[in-house]
Amino acid sequence: MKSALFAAAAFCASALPLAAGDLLVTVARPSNLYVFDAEDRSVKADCDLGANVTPGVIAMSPDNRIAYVLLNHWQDVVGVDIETCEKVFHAAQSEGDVTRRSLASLAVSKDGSQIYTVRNPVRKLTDRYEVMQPEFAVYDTAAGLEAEPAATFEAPRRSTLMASGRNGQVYVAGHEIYRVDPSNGKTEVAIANASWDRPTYSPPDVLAFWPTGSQNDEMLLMYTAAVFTDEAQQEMADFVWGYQSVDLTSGETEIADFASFEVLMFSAVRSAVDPKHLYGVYTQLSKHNLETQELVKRVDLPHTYYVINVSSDGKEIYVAGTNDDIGIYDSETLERTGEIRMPSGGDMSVSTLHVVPQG
Amino acid sequence: MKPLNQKAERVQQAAAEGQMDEVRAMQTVTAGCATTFDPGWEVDPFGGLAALCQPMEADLYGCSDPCWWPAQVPDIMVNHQNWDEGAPNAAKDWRALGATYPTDAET
Amino acid sequence: MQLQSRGLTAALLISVAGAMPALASEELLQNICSSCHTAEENGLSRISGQRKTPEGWMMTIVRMQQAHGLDISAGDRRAIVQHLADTQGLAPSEAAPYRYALEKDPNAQESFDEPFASMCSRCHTGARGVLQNRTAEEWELHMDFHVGHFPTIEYQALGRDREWYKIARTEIAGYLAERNPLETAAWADWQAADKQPVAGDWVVMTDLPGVGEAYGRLTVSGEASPYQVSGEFMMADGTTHPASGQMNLYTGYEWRANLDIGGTAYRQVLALSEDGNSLQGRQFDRSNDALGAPLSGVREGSGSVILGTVPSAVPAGEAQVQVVGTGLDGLDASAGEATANAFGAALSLAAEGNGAVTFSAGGAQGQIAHYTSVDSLRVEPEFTIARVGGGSEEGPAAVPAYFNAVGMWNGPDGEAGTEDDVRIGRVEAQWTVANAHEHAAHMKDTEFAGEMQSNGIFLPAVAGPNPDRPFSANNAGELTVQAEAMGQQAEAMLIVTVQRFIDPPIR
Repeated sequence: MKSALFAAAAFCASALPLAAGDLLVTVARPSNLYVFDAEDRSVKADCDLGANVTPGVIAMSPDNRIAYVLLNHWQDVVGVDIETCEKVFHAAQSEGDVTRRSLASLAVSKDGSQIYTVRNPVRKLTDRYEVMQPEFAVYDTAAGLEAEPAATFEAPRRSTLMASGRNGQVYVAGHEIYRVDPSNGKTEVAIANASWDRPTYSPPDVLAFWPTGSQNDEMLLMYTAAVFTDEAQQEMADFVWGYQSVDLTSGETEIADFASFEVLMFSAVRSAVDPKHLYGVYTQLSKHNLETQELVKRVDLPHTYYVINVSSDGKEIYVAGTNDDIGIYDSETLERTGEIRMPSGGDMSVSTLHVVPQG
Repeated sequence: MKPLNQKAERVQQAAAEGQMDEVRAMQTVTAGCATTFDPGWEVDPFGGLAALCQPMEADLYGCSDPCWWPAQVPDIMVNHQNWDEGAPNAAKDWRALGATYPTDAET
Repeated sequence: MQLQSRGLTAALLISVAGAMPALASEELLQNICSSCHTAEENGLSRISGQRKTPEGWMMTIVRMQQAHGLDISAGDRRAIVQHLADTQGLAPSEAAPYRYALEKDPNAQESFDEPFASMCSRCHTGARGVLQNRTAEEWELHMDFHVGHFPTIEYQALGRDREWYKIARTEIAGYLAERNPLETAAWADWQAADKQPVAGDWVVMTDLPGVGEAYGRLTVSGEASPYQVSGEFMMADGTTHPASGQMNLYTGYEWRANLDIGGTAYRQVLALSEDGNSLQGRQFDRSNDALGAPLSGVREGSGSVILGTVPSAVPAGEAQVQVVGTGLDGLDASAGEATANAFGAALSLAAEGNGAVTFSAGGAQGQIAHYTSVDSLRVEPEFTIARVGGGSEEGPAAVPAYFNAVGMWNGPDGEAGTEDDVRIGRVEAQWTVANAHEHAAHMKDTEFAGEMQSNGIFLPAVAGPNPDRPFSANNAGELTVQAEAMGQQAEAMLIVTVQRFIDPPIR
């Protein structure tokens, strides 16, 4: 089983030459899934997702043909063929008096056969709510338009982003970065956050709603933390930015500080061709050198953006989310070299921006 | 922490002296303002405006879609699902986004 | 069977305000609410386990309309609020520490202990939480309500850094059950207490923002809510503003009135004292609740009481002062001539230099300062927020901020800003605003955020992104408000921020 998984992964990787240009995939109001050609900034596909496209969290199938989108107020997972706009998968997670929302928790296995969510059920009785145990749900991608989970397991509360590794494990951001075995639900700590052994640090604060890192085959999250002069934690020495990353090819993890807290950042990305640089976005676009911990450059943006991504060749940075424009920046100079407007004129809000290498 | 403004300096000073209660007190602003600093609705973690989303309308659906600041901003997830109707672009359509508490519901 | 027995109990009760026989109200509650709330031993499920303010009950019913499809007329809604506030309200002493929230005081600052502060009052006032009493089970259900109704509560800052739901269920629910239980001695005593009818004549003192310090008389007539209120407000210069409107009285002491005063709609959120002889609270512009001021009142015929003076202080020289109160016949003043009138007593003064005139009548005492100089100024409030607004028919209106300059003497220690400073009273000042710091100057906040008027009211600019500012920023700003009077200066901090799209009676 495991070797088959690896074989599938290897096939996918080899089928996608990186230099052939990229597609950008995002979701915008009122009901659109957009696929843009990054090179000529043109619209390749405009798929109508129906109503309630929020939050527009996207996970791409490993062959990059299907965009799985979390929508209908975080309740439904819909799979759409990005070439034909055909809906190939739909899991409506809520049923009856139980509402099940996934707070950005969505991933696809590296062999493309399974979809994972963490669902947070709440039963709504006529005069009260009953909070229920969150569950890690496993769906078969072949389950069609009325998909039900093939398996569910207990999950920790307050899970957010997920990513799947080539080792078959699923990584889930929560109080810790967990590693979940989707065959039995066994959950371990992959990167300690709430329980990290850093006596002079406050616990980290992680805002994790934008799945980035797929082009680098990594799960990349940032944290902030207060650093004190000693373990008594009386005197604050610094307030820092750090990053934590799961290498989805090898399963190796890393966690390290990279800068003092000077500006806010909502999401970050680094390029496979230049992994020592991290780009972070909010009202500024910042480029950090992870090795020297230096700020390479920072520029003001025309407005706040939430989500950031990078082209396969590492030359272009894309900032998106919030309003109706994707800003395109030169990764060296951080100059704005172009933009793509949502044809619908609608806001992207919290939706994901994926960079999809073309095969 | 590099202070973003004078208040941040005071917060930093108090934090450095371990006076976390004082830090919280300074962050209270006025009663009813949110102190959920992601980075905040009325004020940012430093008690100012500099670190808030710019402009607010860039962030507005990013607040209402995921039910952030639900006491200040109508959330589209549960309580005010049609609040954004006919206003797909908050920066352009902000004039259509109204206050939700009914004016006739007075004691 | 349960329904019948409750009906019998209800039949013996007359609601506190006497608005409507409790039986009719109880039937209304049954008719409207029992399709979702089930009959239990003590009443309808959920409802019977809670007590709260009239505003709290109103917000609950509005939530049932907005989120759960309740169809109810405005009249029935008010009748149910009246019934529930009367039979399941808060005792005066329970609401007293948190009246700032009911009064919509724009300058109040709260201080709650952890973990309640981060768990609860990061989203809404702490007052909104503790202006309620519930059974232990109700407090637990209240935690689940928050997760069901606001599904990202565990994910926001100060929610995601802890096991929010676990703390809510294991610590907060228990803390509140102990702190604010359904059954209290205060409530039992208040229910049993004799209550004086609110009807009668009241002498009141307040401030009409932008108009000036004011005093007046209000006559309340009727036997049940809505009571009729009529009277007049007088300014220091003798100008009269007629007042009329209606008042609802809840829980035997919660006075909620809408009055037209000289052509402007005002709202009063007041509390009647437990003996029924005095009033305390806040009166504000009904369309703009940031523009308001404290209001105090006394029942005519309740002995000798002095509320204060209008104006609150006078420049030295000849001055006419109204001592506001009741039972002030034969007011004995250390200087000047006093003549009793319908609002207390008029006092003609001719005072020199800096000092104070004291006066008393029937055990009531008061004083007024007269001045030729002040040692320092104080701006009140020292810190507040305003909000951009308007520019559309749908969106919230701008929220202004209202400042006053108060003259101070140094007191015995000869130093300004110390505890023994003597408060003189309000003085006329020149008002300006400045950028609060470098970033505000960079953003040119003074040019964009709004306008300071000569009457101490700051009017914020219009809402919406402004393409003329960096980042198309809103017309928000961080300003220093500066007052200058009699050679002295003072400052306050003003943050002009963005709109509040949900503005319920308890924030």
